[in-house]
Amino acid sequence: MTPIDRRPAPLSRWASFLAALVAVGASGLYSYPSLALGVLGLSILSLALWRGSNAGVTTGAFAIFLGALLTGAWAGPVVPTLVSITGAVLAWDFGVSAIGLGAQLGREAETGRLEGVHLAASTGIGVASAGIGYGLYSAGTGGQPVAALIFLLLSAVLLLYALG
Amino acid sequence: MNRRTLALAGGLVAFALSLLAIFDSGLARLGLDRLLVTVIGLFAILLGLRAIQIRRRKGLEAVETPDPELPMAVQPPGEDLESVVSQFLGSQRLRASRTRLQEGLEAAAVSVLWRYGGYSPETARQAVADGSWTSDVRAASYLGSVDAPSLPLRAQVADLFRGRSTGRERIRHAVDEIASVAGLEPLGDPAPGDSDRAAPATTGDARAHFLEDEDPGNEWGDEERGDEWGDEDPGNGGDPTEGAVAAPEAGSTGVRDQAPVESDGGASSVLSRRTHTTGHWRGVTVVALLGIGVGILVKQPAALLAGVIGIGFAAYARSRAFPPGAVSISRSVDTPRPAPGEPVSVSVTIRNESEQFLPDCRLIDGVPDALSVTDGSPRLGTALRPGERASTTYTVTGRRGVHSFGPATVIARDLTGSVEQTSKLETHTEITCIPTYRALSEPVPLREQATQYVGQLETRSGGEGVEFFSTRNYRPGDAKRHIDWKRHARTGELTTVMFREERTATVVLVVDARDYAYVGPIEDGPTAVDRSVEAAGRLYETLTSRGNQVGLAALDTESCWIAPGSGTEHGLRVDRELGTNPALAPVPSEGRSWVKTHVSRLRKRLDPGTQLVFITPLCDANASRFARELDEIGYPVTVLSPNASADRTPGHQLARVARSLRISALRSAGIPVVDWPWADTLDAVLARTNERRSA
Repeated sequence: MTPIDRRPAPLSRWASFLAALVAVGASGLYSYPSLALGVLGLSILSLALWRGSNAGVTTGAFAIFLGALLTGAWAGPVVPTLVSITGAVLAWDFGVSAIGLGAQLGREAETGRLEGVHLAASTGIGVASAGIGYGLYSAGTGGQPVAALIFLLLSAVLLLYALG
Repeated sequence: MNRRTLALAGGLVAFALSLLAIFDSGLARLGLDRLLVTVIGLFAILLGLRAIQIRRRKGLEAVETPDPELPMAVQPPGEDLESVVSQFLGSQRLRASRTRLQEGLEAAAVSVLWRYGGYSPETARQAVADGSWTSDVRAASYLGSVDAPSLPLRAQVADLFRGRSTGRERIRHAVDEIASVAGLEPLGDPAPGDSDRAAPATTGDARAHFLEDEDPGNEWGDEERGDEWGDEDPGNGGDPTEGAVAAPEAGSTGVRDQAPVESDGGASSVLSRRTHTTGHWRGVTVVALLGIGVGILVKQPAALLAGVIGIGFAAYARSRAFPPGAVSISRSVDTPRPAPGEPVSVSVTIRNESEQFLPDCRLIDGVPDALSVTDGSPRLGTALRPGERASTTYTVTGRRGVHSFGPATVIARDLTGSVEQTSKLETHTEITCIPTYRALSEPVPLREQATQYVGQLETRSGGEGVEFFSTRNYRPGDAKRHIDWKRHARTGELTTVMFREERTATVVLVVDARDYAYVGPIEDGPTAVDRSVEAAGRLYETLTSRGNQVGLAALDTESCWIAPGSGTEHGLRVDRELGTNPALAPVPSEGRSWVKTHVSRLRKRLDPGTQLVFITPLCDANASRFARELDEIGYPVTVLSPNASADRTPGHQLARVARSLRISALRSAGIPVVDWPWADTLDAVLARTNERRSA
């Protein structure tokens, strides 16, 4: 009697790793602390993906996110920062999905289509958000004060919280 | 709620301010002094930290799924040491200072010394008290009184260093010593026989009653709960709570669709449905809040724009796009009536019955408890357009019994994965496997007591028959065809050839199928009930082929009775009963059975002089009581006992000791017991038994 193989689903697992790699690559080039954080996060994430630990995936992705934020805070360029942050969030989403799918269905089950839909949807949202961010940035440099942006974002967060 | 209103107000104010900042830069610049910016930034970071905290505290809430592809795990008898110990204890009152475990092991030690060690009950008790029964100091000190040698401090320290608990070590040693007194050798794997142990077989032995004589006040000796002959469901740990699901709580139609086996319609009914949030995206706001907080503090657009991505994902998570909708399942089986061991291909299909795209459907089929999946997977994860179907095919192996598929579990999520809906969908499918049995090559060792019909029982008297028995002088009245004419021609003497007299027997095979009998030494192997049923089938063929009338009964909650008979019709009925009767199903049924009721019911059904072959693993005292009771009231009983024992833990060992004592007690009471080692074939065991009998 062989127990059911409940390791994370392979497709989402690879997607998670690749997203994390892109995230670290995009932000790590601009500052050493950010690179260090990114590599640390990537190792934690990979280990967690291998062992199937949700907490590990979250911690690793969070470290990569902090690295990206550090790049942004130290006057890094906008586009790589946006790519890196999107990558970190996607790595987190894919990793947690892979683990959940593995736990519920195991590796023997056929899950390709479900994973594909999920990966595509999340990537789409990430690209769209980053695009909107870049659009705001381009519009903002056309003379609008940073204050407008700050208030706009703040209002979005508060409204999300209130309506969610 | 209050906090939400506050956030709503704050959000609206912030939005108004952002508009103001865009259209009237002068006004906005007023409010944006250094202090305000810092406060807002720190507040956002604080909120972000709180989001992390929530994620850490609440985590994910995904439904755990069952493992339907694994068959029920089979456990050896004695998995729970406490319950084996109480078999030895009965309702004995305990001396305050000792634990129940010690009392029970002491009783076990006394019993084995009494039966196998040549002690009397008094001297046995004395020997256990002063520790002289064993050379093992741990065992002696554990069970002994103050007179017994105590465990040297050195040994205790050594145990401590080896990381072993002294208490557990002592229990293990005590049980091993008891087993070695009982003459039990370590079992190999797979278990080689520990049968054929020389046991006192004298009838009317004063020690016939194992343990019961010790405590005359308690009629049924080791009955732990004081209820007579009842056995409680020991919870074999098999059934994965499928029963609880059927409770009609939400939207249950309760209609079991009696479709034909090869059903392929979308006729599935929803047994239960439950929706909850998973928390998949919980904590994603931290990206927004930290981005905005840090961005405001350092006045860097790149960091600030990280917030936009966070907001994007947070909004997505809250959108609940493409929520779970209605699905139906159908199942088809290529061989609804397989032979044992024949692969059966099962295909289960899920169909989207809703009007919208279902992005995340996870299906886990309800494979019957007794069957294991050998190929493919009964699980599927897919996305379905309206009206689309997807299916998965897997293979199970045919096994005796009627196997009904349980409800399939469908876990559906919305596109984002934040909402999860679990439903149980039922569509009726059954696989029925009725094996046929071959006759054994060996005759069945029945008791020597027979009816007047010609048949199998080989008596020890000469008479009519086919096998040569002896010759004797001719007596007037002997049939002419039995006169030895050759000898007459040679010597002139008239002698009559005597043949071994053969008579038929009426036999009822009784299979012990109570919960206790669902045991076996190998986790994914057969249970003693499987072995017993197979043995019953083969004994039936063997006995009827030799002209006996054979019937069938089972010891279980469900009724199972076929009156003795023979012939093709009768044989088919017996095969069908062995295959499909719920009492003999490969997984235990729920509920209690009352052995005493069985005795009186059988008494009413049995004709006088009917022999019983009782097939039981002898895992509890009620089994041996059943045999003895029926034997005493005049139905000769033969016990055939598949040995399901293991010896991995002290509990297993002690259960072996108890079984061995039961066998000895039965043999002392004049009931023959055929001990059937797990690794041996029935033919081999019967050959040995017959050899011993004729010797």
